This record gives sequence, structure tokens and C-alpha cells, in this order.
Amino acid sequence: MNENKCKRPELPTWILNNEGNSQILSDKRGKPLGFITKTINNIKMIMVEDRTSEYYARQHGLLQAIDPRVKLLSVVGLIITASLIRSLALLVLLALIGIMLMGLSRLPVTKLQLRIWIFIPLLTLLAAIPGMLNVINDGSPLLVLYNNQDLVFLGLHLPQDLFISQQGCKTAMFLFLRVGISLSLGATLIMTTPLNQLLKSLRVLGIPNLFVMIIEMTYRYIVLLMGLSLDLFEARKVRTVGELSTDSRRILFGSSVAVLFSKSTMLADEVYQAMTARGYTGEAMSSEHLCLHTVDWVFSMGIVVLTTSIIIGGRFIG
Amino acid sequence: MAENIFDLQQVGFSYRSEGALFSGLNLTVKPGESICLLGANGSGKSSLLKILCALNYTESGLFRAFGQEITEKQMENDNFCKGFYRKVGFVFQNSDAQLFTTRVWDEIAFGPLQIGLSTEEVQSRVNDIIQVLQIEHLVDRPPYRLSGGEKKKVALAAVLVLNPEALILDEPTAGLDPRSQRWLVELLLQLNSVGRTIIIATHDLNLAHVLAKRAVLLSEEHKVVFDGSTHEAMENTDLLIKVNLIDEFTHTHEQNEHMHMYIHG
Repeated sequence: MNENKCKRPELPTWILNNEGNSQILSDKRGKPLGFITKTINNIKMIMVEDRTSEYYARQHGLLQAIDPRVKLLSVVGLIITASLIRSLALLVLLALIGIMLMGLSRLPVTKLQLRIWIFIPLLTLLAAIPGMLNVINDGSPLLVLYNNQDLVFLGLHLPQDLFISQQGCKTAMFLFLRVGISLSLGATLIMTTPLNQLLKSLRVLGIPNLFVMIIEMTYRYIVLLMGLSLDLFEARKVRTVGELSTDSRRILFGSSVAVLFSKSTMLADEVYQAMTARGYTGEAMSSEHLCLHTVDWVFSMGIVVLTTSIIIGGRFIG
Repeated sequence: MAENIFDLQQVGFSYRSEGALFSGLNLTVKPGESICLLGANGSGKSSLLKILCALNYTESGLFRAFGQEITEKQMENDNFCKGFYRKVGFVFQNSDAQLFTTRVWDEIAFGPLQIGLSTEEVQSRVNDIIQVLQIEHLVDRPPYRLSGGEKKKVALAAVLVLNPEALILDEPTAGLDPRSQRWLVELLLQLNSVGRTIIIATHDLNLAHVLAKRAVLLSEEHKVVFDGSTHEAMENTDLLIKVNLIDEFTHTHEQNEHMHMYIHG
């Protein structure tokens, strides 16, 4: 009568036996955190960071109220100022201004400053240690390592005197502070500006539309693929119920990579088709309305005055 | 056997930086129940399913599954985690994301290969489930090249082959044509009749009515506003309107204006 009628599925006998009921969850300690769980945690952490930035960009702080173009130019101006001035005191002042801007923008100052200063600038400082020695930066001794000794190391004659020079130390401090200030200002800019606005404001610096569009799309793809990878890994996790041989694991890893690659190419095709369907012909267009408010003018004037005074003042302060 | 399969007591959960999603949430699930979580988009259905599936971890309150407390630390225990997922099967809303191998047969065999079955047993079990789901013609194809309905069937097969005690499905009929929907409902009813606990999240009231005896309604504020018989929930039009599961809809037929209830799904 009706050939499309739904046929009731017949279940195999092993499904009728409720195998799961007889098993008790074991508390016995197993292997430590596996690759899948670690990857899931890492992806989630990155997604949380992304959402955290969005959250702070929505706060009602000082920098959130400023036009992104003004903010971008101001931060670039401050970073250039930091690399031009030759006074440690003024660099410290600039670092303090960076902290103040963070505070006024309602960002978590302590947490961010710790992350900023402990990681990259400290590594830079470690890398700059050889430059503090008199063999590279000669000058007045600050800390003498040895004096008047004729040492040979692996057949190489070491210098008679070896000390950390005041000049070398100062150079390293300049490097440390400049890296830290640049990172601090960059982080403040990123965390107080929604990404789409930040990218749009890049056009003020003369960066071509197409380039900005590529960055925007790359970012979107990364977020999408992260979500896709998270789903893939979670799906894998909920079906990981025992041990697989090393060979099987290797094959599965290869499979997952291949699947993700295929999915990303399919996604790229669909995105391109969607763009074409809406009239995209290869030329990136954007709508820009430069409309600055009083607060933007006041802020930019403040930054101009500040950077000029620091650069001019730096000539008189050692 | 534990009295409750799942037991959530005063549970709190949030996605960091986005405020609390659930606070003080209570829910118990007994073995063999068929439950539908109903709620509008964004009401927290999928997040709640992921808590039951230990993919999201509660921030406060108590979550017990099969009589044991489930915490992030507990799930870091490899033995415990594998045992848990032997008992709980989860079918994702997006089947596409769930499939991670390059061949349907491998996808279905992924679970059984891990639980110490012999090669013959794995083959027989995989073939059985392939027959039940009527996907014999797909076994050698890459899962990501299949149609939406086929992907859903493969995803379901990959979970069912492990014969889990509780089956959790997120929007199981989304994207399926009417015949496939009806077929899926038949299968889930049959699984429930042989003792499997079925929990589905949906905003399809027709599916909920046919499939589940118990309905849990989540409001748009992420609160449980109803927990009782599905029939009773379907009768309560005011509540369904309030939680945005049905809406008043005005339109015209041959110049006559009608107003009736609009059901999602």
C-alpha cells in the first residue's frame, strides 16, 4: 500500500542485554591526563581568552570610549616614543602611563601586568645578558666577575677582565622596558577594542582593504575551526571507552587531520560561494565614516602633547 | 544499581566572562526514563546536556551520575572517564562535527575496537548496527561527504554500537526529512522500551510529545520552569508561550485573517 511506510528497526540481541548496567565506574587511578583532554582544555582556554577580550571591549572605560582609529594611532605614537627616548626615567614614566590607561579602561591591571612583564620582556632580558658584559658593551664596571686573569676555555683565550658594565646594563634595561611598554600598550589596545573595529582602523594607516579583509577572514576561520576541532575532540572523548593500539591511534590521528582539512576546504568553498552570491567580485569594499567626537579630539591632543613633551624632555634628562 | 542515573543538585554553571548560565538547578533522571528538555534557542538545553555528559563541569552544587560524583578531577582519571562514556552515549546536534574518521565503517568501529572485543565480535557488532540503521550502502564512504540525514544515522550508529545505558541526543531530528524523523522516533522508542534511558534536547514539540513521557522546560532565563508529564506540558499553552516554544501567529487565507499558535520545529 504505502511503500514509503517506515519499517520498525529490529534491534540485535546484544542491544537487548543492558551491558552497561553490570559495570561499576572504577575509581582506580588510570593514566594521567590524555592528549585529547589536554587539547580540549587548551582549545577551551583560547576560546575563553577570546571571549574575555570581547567582555573587556564592552566595558565602559576610558579607552573603550575612544574611536578605534584614534586609539590605534595613539598607541603607535606611544610605542614609537618609547623607542625614541633615551632616558630610563622617562621610560618608567611611559610604563606607568600604560598602567594608568589600563586601570582607567577597567582592565585587570595586576593580572595583565604580571603576564606582560614576566613572560616576553624577562626572556628578552635573559637574552640580553651577554650584551651587559664589557666584551660587548665596554664601560665602567658595575659588577666585576674577575680581574687580571689569563684564562683559557676550550682553547680560547678569555679576556683579562670580565665585568658587567654600567652601559651594558643600561642598554639591557632599555630593551627590557621598551619591549614591556610596547606589549602593555598593545594588549591595552587589543583588549579595549572589538576586533572588527580594530581591523577597520588599520585602514587609517594605509593598509589595503584586501589585506584587512584577509586578516578578518583568517580570524573568523581560526575561531570557526577551533569550534570544529573542539567538537571533533569532544566527540572523540565521549567515544573513548578503552585502549587502542599505537597503530590504530596513529591512523586515527591521521584521519582526524584529513577530516579537519577536508572540512576546512569545504567551509572555504561555501564561504566563497556565499560571498559571490552577494556580489563579491574580488574587490574588497568597506564603508568608512570618519566622525570623531570631542572626547576623541581631547584624547588625541593629550597624546600629542604627552609624546612631544616626552621626546623633547628626554633631551634634557639623562 | 543506582536509584538515579543522573542527579543534579543546586548546580551552578557559567561560561567564563558571560555571567551565570545556571544557578541552583535541580534535575534527577531515573533508569529507563524518556525525557525531553524543551526550551527556546539559547535557553541552555545543549549546555545542560553537556553537563550530563561531563563535557561541561559544574561550578557549584553536586552532580552525581550512576551514584558517583562527577567532577573535572574525577574525569581526569582515565579509567573512570572511559567507564563513564561506556555508559553514556552522546549524539551531537551537529553530526558533521562528530564524525572524525575518513570511512563510515571505521567511524562505527572506533568504539568497539577499544573495549577488548575480538575482531569477529567487532565486525559482527558493527554489521548489526549498520543493518539496524539501514546504512549498508554507506560503509565505504567518507562521513563528511554524506547528506545531513545520512550523517545523523552514522553518528547514531557510532554511539549505539557501544550499547550505552543512557542515550543523550541534542536536537536529534534537526535537518532530517519527515520519513527519517519518523524512523528515528521508532528507533528511540524501541530502545527506550528495552530499558535504555533516553534524554533529548529539542524545541520540536511534536517530537517531544511522541517520544518522551517526561518533559523538562527551560525558560529563556535558564531556569527549570516545568518538570512533569509531557502531555501536561503540551496542554499548558500559556507556559509554552511564556518559554517561547509556541507563538501567536497572524496570517491571511484568501483575504480572511487567521490567528493561531505557531509551533517551532
